[in-house]
Amino acid sequence: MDMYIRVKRSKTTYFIRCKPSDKILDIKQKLQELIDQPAINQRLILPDTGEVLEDSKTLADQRVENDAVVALTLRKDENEFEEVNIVRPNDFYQARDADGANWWYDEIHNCSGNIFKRLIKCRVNDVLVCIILNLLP
Amino acid sequence: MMRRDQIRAHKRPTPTLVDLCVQKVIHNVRYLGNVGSFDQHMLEQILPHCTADQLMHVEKSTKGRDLSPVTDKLWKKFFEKQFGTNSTDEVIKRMKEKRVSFRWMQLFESLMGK
Amino acid sequence: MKKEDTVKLISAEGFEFVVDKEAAMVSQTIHNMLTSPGSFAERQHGEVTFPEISTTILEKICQYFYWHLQFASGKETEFPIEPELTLELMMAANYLHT
Repeated sequence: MDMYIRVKRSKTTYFIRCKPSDKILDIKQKLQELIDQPAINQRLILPDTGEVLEDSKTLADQRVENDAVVALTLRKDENEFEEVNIVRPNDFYQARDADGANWWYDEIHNCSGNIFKRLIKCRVNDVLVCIILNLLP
Repeated sequence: MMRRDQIRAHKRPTPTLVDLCVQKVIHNVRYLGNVGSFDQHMLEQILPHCTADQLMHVEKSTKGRDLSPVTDKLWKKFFEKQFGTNSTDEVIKRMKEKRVSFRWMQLFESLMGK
Repeated sequence: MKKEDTVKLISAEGFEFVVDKEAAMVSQTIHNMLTSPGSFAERQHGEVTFPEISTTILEKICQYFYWHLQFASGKETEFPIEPELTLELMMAANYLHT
């Protein structure tokens, strides 16, 4: 398998296997099977730049690489396509992105100083101490 | 020669996603906290990479689950490293004599506090 | 690419990922769902819902499926895992036997 792209529209993502030499029209024909819409009713757009991908060009021509995200829009009427619409999940992770990589380990940052000092106070078993107290020279 | 390498490279099994995640967690083990939801086989892979301080933090952060089936042997190792084999043997002997048994974490913790 | 060769995986938030069955069956759990006689509904509709798996994690898992196929065919790249996803991803991967 050479590569795949992620074609997104609304809350759906299609993982499409392809080759760098595939033309955009080839991709649309693959999509046609999945969405019951002929190629002529599909428009593929790079969501970051808004660039509309041309049927006759290849993926490589337009620098669409492995794992790339491509937006799918469908024809509304004879002259018009819908706007790019990719819904992003509003889950847990997206909100945290800004905090950088390490938020999930937060706990440890609250724990300062020598961990043992704090722990030792807690529970020292009498019998245990008897056994080990005179252990070391 | 090259050909043999290529063949060998090709035979390398594809790592599972669990493997890849476990590697990542090991790499970031210093940030590990509550591991209560981890399967034992993951803990067996991950926790041996902790230092004593890190393991203590994991133990204290993990509420409601006894990690000693995985960590007792690790604590014994830390104990041996810190206090020597003789002390370790002595502890084992005395526990036997007194017919008590303590977790190595507890022993380690108490001696560190002395 | 035929519709019946794909399967739709649905996340906790109702997002849908349409992937090749071959890719999805990298997961032993999904493989069993799609092939065992007991899971008629999944086979019939070609859909599997994972109420426990969030969208971000499910997408990452789908990316892993394809990475796995590429790796197995000799394209050995590194699979990127964002630190903030690691623990959740590990749990989901474990559940999916992936």
